[in-house]
Amino acid sequence: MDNIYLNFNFSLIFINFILCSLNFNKVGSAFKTLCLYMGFITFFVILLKFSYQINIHSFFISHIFFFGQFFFLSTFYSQIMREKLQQKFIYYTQIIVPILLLTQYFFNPELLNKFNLLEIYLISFLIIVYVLFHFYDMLNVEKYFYYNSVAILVYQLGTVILYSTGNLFLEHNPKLNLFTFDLINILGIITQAITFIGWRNYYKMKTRS
Amino acid sequence: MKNDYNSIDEINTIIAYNSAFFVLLAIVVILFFYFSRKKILQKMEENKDLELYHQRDLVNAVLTTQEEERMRIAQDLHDDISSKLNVISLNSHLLQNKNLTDAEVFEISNNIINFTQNAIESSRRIAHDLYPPVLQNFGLQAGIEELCLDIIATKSVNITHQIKVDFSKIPIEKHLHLFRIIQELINNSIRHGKAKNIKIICKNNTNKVNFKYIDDGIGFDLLALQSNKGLGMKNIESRVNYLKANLMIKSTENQGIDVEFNF
Repeated sequence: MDNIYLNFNFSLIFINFILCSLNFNKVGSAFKTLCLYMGFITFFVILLKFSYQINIHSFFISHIFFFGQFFFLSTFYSQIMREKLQQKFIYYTQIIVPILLLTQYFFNPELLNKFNLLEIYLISFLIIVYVLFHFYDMLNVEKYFYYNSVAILVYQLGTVILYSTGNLFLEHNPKLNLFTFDLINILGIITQAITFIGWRNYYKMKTRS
Repeated sequence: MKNDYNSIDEINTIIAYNSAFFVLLAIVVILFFYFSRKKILQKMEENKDLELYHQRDLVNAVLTTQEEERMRIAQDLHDDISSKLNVISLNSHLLQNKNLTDAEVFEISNNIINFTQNAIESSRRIAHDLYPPVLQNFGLQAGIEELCLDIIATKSVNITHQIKVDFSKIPIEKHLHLFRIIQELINNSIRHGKAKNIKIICKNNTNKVNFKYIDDGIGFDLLALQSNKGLGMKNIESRVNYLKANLMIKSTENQGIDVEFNF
């Protein structure tokens, strides 16, 4: 698939993945999870490009993306949370959400072939809650994983509506769907740029120390 | 037609999800604001308590130092001056004896003169310790120079100083504080730091005076200092507070210390 926004987004994702992989063995578990998440997104974009090249438009890939995103980000935030209550909340949602969604797919397998609104909203909402938990924890301490969290928040808030309208445009006007796809990629570029600033600051701090 | 109904259903579902999402998000944001505010206020209160505790600590340190100083002066007066005045008094009584020979009168007079001179010397030393006259007569720069020369003369440490400040422009009440800070720092460097070289720098920095003190002693762990400050260090801190300055101490073990403040 040859889309300028997707290609640019992919380049930034790849750079960020390389940047965080550079010190993979020397960093803590939360940082490692974030690196794995970057690796997962890189893999997902490659998969997406490949599926378009061989002309398979499977929605199954998007469900893998949402589930993977939820798994990596909830693991990441549970690793950096400071309060027991927050950790418990993430732990329980990590169990309940997949069970809930898999039950939904079991009873309504048709949902696998389109955007699942419950999946989109529930996962986005919970990730936003995790980010706010993290912001709360950072109120009176030095900032850590700040830019990554800002990037995640911007992406989740920005894309939730775009994903939710996916089914509608797919049915009526595929051209409009392409517009939504571009918007998602533009948001992805912004997110990756913020993440890039985060890595840059991290390495700057490390060099200084 | 059926397709249209489906679309309307789809739109309605999206609208329902969107409104639920944003209502829940609004609740989360409100909760976030509520708990954040609570946390910040709690932290502010803690900081205020900590500041009060710190100030109380400094006042205690000042009072303790004051009491120690009083004790030292009392001891000096008792051991040095009182004992000598007693001897003078006894000798003076002896002089009242009419059966004394000329040689005895001469010897007693000599004793009185010697002890009087000793008492004068002791009282001068006590006065000098309380407020160095050089400070009053020749200013802070001369006071610091004399202090450095006195220490260098003991050959325990080498002190270099660069003073490029006109102290006459600084309020006189600040002079003694700075002098005592330098005295205490040198004292610490020799007693605890085992320093061999000390550097004192005083220069103008925009509208303020920049003071820097560096030694090459054994230094200390700053974290340990935070939890267990000695009386001398608290004294320095309280004097720096009087100067309305922020004390910055940099030190690591075996790397000496670097003390800096602007006033």
